[in-house]
Amino acid sequence: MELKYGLISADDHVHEHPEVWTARMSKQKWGDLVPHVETAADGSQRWLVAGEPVDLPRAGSANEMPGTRAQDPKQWDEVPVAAYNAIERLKAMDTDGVDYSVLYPTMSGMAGQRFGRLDDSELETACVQAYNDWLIEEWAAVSPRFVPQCIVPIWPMDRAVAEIRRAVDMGHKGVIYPASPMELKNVPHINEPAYDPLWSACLCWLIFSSPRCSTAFPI
Amino acid sequence: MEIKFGLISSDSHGQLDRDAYTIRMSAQKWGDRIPHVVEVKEDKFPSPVERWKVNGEIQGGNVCNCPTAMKERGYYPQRWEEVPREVYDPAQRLLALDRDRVDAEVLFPNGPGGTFFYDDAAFELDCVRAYNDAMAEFRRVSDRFIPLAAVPYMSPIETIVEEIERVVQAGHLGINMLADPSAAVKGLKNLGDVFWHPLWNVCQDLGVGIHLHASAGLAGKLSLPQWKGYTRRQAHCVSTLRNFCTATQIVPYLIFSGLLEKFPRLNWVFAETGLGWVSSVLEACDHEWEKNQLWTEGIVTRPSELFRRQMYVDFWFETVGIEMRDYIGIDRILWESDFPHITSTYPHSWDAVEHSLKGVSAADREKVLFRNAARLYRLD
Repeated sequence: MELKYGLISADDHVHEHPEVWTARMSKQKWGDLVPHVETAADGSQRWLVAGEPVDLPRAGSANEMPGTRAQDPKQWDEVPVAAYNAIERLKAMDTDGVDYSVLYPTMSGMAGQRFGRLDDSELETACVQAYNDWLIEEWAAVSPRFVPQCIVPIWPMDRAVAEIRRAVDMGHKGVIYPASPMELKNVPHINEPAYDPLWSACLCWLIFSSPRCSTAFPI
Repeated sequence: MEIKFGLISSDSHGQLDRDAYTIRMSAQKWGDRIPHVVEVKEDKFPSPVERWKVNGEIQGGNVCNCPTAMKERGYYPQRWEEVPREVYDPAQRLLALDRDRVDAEVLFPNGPGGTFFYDDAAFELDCVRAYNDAMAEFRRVSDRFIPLAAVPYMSPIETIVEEIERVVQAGHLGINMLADPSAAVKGLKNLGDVFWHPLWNVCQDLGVGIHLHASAGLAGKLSLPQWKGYTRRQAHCVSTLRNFCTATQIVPYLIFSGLLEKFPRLNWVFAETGLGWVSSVLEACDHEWEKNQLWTEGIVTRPSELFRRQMYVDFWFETVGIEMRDYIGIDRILWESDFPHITSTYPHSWDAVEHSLKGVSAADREKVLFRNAARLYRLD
């Protein structure tokens, strides 16, 4: 590991751009359920996730933008490129003197919880996989200075564990899981032993693989 | 008021006698709805127990929450005759204060007294008046008691203001409120709403502070779903520690509403919330205030300065929070005993004081133990 500045940020956020899911999920299979950006008659834009509207994320929440923090983007072309593009992000990191950056999501939910609210577990998994693939293909593959962390289908556990294994094999180095899944859908309380397979999967990776793996609980 | 011991509890709980409401409310008008104590059968007790009954509804919990006042500490009385007079009789209660070497105590409610929400503003108002009158009696017995008034939330604001003016005249030295009335009853207004401005004006002018006790009604709203797997005592620890975490949200909630800027002489008192969290919340408030440039939106004063100008917090066991006293503001810290609840330091409050204040200068000790409270409540 090369350190130029001597500074690692353990919590930064990527902005998922409009093609993250449309480029990776089957239009034929999922149709309009695929998360995509919709443009209204007045030109303003918003996300639609399985039909549910989601405001464009705040640019000021993901990028250092002196002087413009109070302005929220109404359209994608107002979002700074460094928010969603790895090459530009590296320049921003150099401007700030940061060597490595641990990546958390934005539109997918700070804890990856956006898709955990979906009733269709298969759709949830497809959305989650597209995010995890994107993070490897467009971030980790561009530079080792990005530390990708996967999101997971919150339930059932066999799906969650399978996605962790798939993601870690691809290069993900941490797992993001919501702190209160029982408030997203009808699943057991997070303290229940039903979640042991999740903790075991993370623990196994920690012990038997060289790059460390941890579970993160952002709110 | 004479300071003999040098210790004022800024959060204790004053129990009203079992006939406090029946002798003050019209039986003809309210009948069985008046708060009173009745005998009931409960499955887990072999013989009949007693509970408060309000508006025809048996109240949950015990007939009196006073486990530290009992001979067997931790026991909750199940019948009124088991309740020590020191809990509800002001003349007797002075003996408990002397035993614990405490000069004065701020009285929050015990049992029925905080709110009376029963879809009936007229009934609520009469209950509140009876509660406030009964608590004012404590102060007539001794100026060592510092009563806080209840608020008739469901009345028009003119009635609310009138009641507060009336009871301050009668001896109340602050008011006890919910952090968000709109979360308790549909139709009531959030504290940030202009509805409350006449009350804030009056309280500011009368010099009485707004008191928010523990989660101030928001524990249910601001908590994770409770896990069924906890033992009774584990569950108690989890739920009681929410009091520290709910206030961390209420402080920014009030500061960023602009209320402290609009009413710069109105005091806000956080009781039973501890103080270890205050420094981190204030630092975070300042950081967000800067990054979001909130001086452009009416919050012209730095949040930590607003806190040190208008807010107070209590402690009763902490040491780490005390180390942060200069950052929190030595003039904003109050001590509390929480008598007669289970977390209380009674009857060994001075041991707790010495534990928390080891190495603290004499001047700072006096401030947090009694001078700040004496200033806040103008105990000349």
